[in-house]
Amino acid sequence: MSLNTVSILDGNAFVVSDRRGDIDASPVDAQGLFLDDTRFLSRWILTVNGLRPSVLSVDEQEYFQVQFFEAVTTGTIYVDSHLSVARKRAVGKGFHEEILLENHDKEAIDLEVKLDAGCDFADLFEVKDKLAKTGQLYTKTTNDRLTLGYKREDFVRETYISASQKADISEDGLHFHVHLPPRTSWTVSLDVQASARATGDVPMRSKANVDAWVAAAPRLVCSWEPLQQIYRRSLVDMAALRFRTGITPGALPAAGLPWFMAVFGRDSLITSFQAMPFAPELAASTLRTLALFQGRVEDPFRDEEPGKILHELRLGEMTAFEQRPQSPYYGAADSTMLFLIVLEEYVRWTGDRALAQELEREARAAVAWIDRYGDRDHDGFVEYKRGNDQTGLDNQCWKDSWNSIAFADGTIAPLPRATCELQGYVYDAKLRTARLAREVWNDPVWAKQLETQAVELKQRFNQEFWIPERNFFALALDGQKRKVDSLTSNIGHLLWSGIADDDKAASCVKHLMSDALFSGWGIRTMANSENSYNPIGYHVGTVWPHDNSFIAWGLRQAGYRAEAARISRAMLEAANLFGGRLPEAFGGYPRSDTHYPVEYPTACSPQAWATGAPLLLIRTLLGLESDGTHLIVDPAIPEPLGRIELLDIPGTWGRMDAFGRARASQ
Amino acid sequence: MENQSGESLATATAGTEGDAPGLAGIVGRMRLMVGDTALGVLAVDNGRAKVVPDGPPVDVTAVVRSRELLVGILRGQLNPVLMALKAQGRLHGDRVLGVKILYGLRAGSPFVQTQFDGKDK
Repeated sequence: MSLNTVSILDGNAFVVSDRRGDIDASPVDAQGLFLDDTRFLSRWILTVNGLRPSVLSVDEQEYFQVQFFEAVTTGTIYVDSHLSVARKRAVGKGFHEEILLENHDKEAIDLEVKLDAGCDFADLFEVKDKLAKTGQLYTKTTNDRLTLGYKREDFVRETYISASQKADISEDGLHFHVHLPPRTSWTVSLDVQASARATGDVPMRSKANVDAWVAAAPRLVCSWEPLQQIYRRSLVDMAALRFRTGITPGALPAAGLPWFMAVFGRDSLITSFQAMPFAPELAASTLRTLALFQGRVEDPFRDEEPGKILHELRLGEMTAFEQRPQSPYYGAADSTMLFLIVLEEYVRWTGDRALAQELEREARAAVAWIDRYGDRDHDGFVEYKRGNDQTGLDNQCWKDSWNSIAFADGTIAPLPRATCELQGYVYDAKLRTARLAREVWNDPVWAKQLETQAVELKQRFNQEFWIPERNFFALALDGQKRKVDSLTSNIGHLLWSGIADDDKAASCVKHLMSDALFSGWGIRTMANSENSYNPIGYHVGTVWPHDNSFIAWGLRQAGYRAEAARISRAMLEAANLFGGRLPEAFGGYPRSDTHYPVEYPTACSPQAWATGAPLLLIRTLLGLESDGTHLIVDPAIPEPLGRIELLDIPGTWGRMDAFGRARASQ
Repeated sequence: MENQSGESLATATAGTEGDAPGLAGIVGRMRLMVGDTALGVLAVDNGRAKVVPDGPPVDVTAVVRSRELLVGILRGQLNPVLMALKAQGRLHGDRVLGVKILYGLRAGSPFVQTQFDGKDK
């Protein structure tokens, strides 16, 4: 997000304005009121006697509320302003704004206060890709309301604007005639309501709601003060990103502001995993919602196949008219395995076997998808190739930009692509599903089959993905079964899945901690030794906090305590320098070159799995694990972080505390 | 409403009861309405589906704008998300069950060959 904009959000409703509070959407700035992937207000400009007030300060009180302090200035430093303006705004199903004008002068003044309003009703894809509209815009005015509307066949969206004070309402806004005696004030409340929410009403957020959410999470006590701020920031951002579908109970994490305020299979599952010891209810909502929309048919346009878990669900016009396939779109090769992984993790942490019983059929369908559709050519590995050549995703792994899967010389790998972490996820998913089959579904025969398949996959993977001359696993096998030989962070995901043989894992750890991959702030997505490397390339050199949180956790799982602690510390130090909030990604420049992590220009912030990264890092530092009955605590905390206490961790045990302190050797 | 034919769907589908593999594990009754007119109840019982005359109890009600849309739903030919986005239909009651049924019918419907008023195919 631009530093010159201010954003407030609540689920998938959000307002992006300039620092005055004005909205003046342009191709450059994605400003506006957005809900359900549609812009419901693209112009909202306050003038007083024809002047736009100057901003004095912006108070971002809560993620859903902001206050702008302004003055109507004369344009010269020699004449004081006597008129101040305060704008207080809260987002919900639209937004509510209070404008306060104060006359500090000894003389009365007459003011023409105007709010210009307009809307282009752009689909978020149209904003992002700068596309033109197809339907008809209209406006309607009555004595007390301005309606901005858009209609294309049955697709109708409207915005209603009303005020608490009498106004002249015209097609382009509201006009107030205000007489202010000396040292008096005038207030108006404005309601901007967005219509046609496709998925049901959702109550407006309140501070009490957020406070309750934070209070329900475990309490952190620590000696390194910034961690306290980072932890609270993560919890509050996680609260902000909670998304209610209006169909399934509870809330799940939306992916990120501004482009990804929607249900994403991969993002919601990964964030739910990161948050497991802190807010396990997110996982339950995520699993239920994704199960509901699990693929049923073969539909190449949507890359839908029976048993597949969705990638993205959108609610805007381009989706409604099938100009885009997100209704839902299933172009993710990993979300189905992650669904199984999160299901087992959730049951093991919470003991909620009822959810596993409820989702048994979906879990079996997911495993069937892996074997029948995921492994497209039946070579024993999951690979992907889109069915929709027009608007489908080329890359269906988490590094989903077009150039992310490249050979060391920079050549893009031909499709289909079997990336290495996908195989690790399959291995992990089958072992975890086997546990559920044995312990919950009472099907030991299937459990044994799944375990046998996992063992066979591990053997094949360690033979066919290993690059002996470079001593790490290939990023992928390409369409011709060649090893894609770039050194990337993907090998870090093989540690938490457990698919790598011990000796090969050791070699990968050396690469991960080398200067080529580890920048000092975190593991780069691609090593700086590779031809495609770019420190500000989205998936070919930047550092992604969520990636690092899983690599650190995988290092702990594989027994590399010091390495896990080193990455965790570096990432938390970066978070501190970002004001407690890790962005989606940041530059891959060496730490020796910069004393601060360099921002990536178009990173989403807040972004769900970046928000979840500190949570998984805290879990990693404390060595938290559940064996299904007990909370296991095995801390490995580096010296500067001192002491960490996490109190009231929820799980099958009820609530338990975890304590850890740094030791000199870590 | 584009078409509010009040003919009972139960009449049109008389004797049609069959497998709907996507409805395995699902049990419930969904009232079928075009506008204000109830045209029957889709009774789902663990992978089997049939349309019966309207009457309680029902778990969820599907209200759509035209009979053609309703036929499309029963045949598993419509995407429920697209219908909702265009305000062509909505669900009341147990909406989770409703989405499960609508999605499940896409995996195979016993009504694909059914003649609805002899003009729906």
